[in-house]
Amino acid sequence: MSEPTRLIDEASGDKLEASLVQVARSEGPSPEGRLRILAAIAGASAATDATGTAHAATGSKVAAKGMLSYVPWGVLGVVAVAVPTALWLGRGEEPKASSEQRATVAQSPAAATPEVSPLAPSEPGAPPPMALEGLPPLPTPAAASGAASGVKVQGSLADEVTQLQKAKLALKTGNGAQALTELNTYAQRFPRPTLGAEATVVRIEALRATGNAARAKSMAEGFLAQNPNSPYAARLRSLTGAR
Amino acid sequence: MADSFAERASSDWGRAPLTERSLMPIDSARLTRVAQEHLDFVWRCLRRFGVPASDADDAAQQVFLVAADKLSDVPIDRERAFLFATAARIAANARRSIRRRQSAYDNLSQAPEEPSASQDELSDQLRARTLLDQVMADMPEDLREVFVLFEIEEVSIQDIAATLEIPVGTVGSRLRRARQAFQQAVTRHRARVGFKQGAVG
Repeated sequence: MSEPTRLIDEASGDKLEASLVQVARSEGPSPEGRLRILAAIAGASAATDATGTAHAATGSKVAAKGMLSYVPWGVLGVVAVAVPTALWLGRGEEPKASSEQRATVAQSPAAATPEVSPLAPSEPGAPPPMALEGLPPLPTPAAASGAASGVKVQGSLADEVTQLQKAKLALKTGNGAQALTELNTYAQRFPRPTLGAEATVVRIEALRATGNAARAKSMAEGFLAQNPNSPYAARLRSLTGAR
Repeated sequence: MADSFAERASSDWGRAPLTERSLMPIDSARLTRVAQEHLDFVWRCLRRFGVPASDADDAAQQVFLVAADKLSDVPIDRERAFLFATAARIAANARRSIRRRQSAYDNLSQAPEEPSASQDELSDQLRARTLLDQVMADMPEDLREVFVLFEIEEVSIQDIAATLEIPVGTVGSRLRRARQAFQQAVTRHRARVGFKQGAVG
């Protein structure tokens, strides 16, 4: 059968119906939720890798707290301990952050860019020197030199979350320069980041925090050009004025 | 409920309790890739299958935990179909759980504030989602599956047929009925709003 025209594409279609479909298409996990889910999955994977079984532990009440009551906790087992999740939820080194702050982090991003080079002056129209969501980042000299510089290259997703947390914490305490340093470390360690989009958003925030608004806007525009429907799009536009 | 994919899938993928099966070593790289590629898809499917936004993150996590256990049995070209079936099943479980959790159920089912009938006023995303939840909740599950995949996820008719393991003609038939159900629900909404406004006026 021929492909029907979708409701949202029908020129004479009902606007309310099309609007509802558009709302459905635009929904997705929050940046914070996305990170939390990915971190938990990474924790599950790591735990299983480490133990050879995911059933080693019974459902942990600690882990279960705040989670769905219908989750089969047996499978979480060791996963429950999901260190990355705990990290993300603010335990350990980081003081409790407000949900807004956590959301900011989630959106932050980093790493996308193996951008270890000094921040170049902003040049409107210049291609953003970063690896974007959905595109495999090209190996960079910085990444390639990671091992030589003593930086452990490419770890687990949990490691990515931890490193992004460091950048977030620096931003939170008003130290944008330190945040950029942490992001550069992230870029070195994770030349093919899973959280590249998040890392990019954090970098843009860090650039703004260091007074480099033009550079932040340029990077945001580059990101938006390649990811117009990213869940971070609205925030980046609001934050930088990028179109 | 008519022959929904989720029901049939429950006898195939993911039926046995996880705790009763031996677990193959997880292919971490594959699991991470699958999660990264399909998280938004899974999350949206869960929402459209009736999981409240407040529970969708945890439900999505559960989908991928199931995937971690079973991915080694799933061909790469069937990953999305597997996730779709798992999401549909977990959403069904979630709805049952929610019904047991009365407070949450109340939150889900109580008559929400009526969204405005006008397109402009639907700029309020929250109210639009409330209406969307209502409309989708009224749709039979087998129709909703096709509607979600075609209208929201933009999957082709052929791919939907492959995903749901039903004939192309059946996909077309379900899509027509799903659209009718969708349009009737929107029409009902307009009638309610119009009546309400008339009563107030």
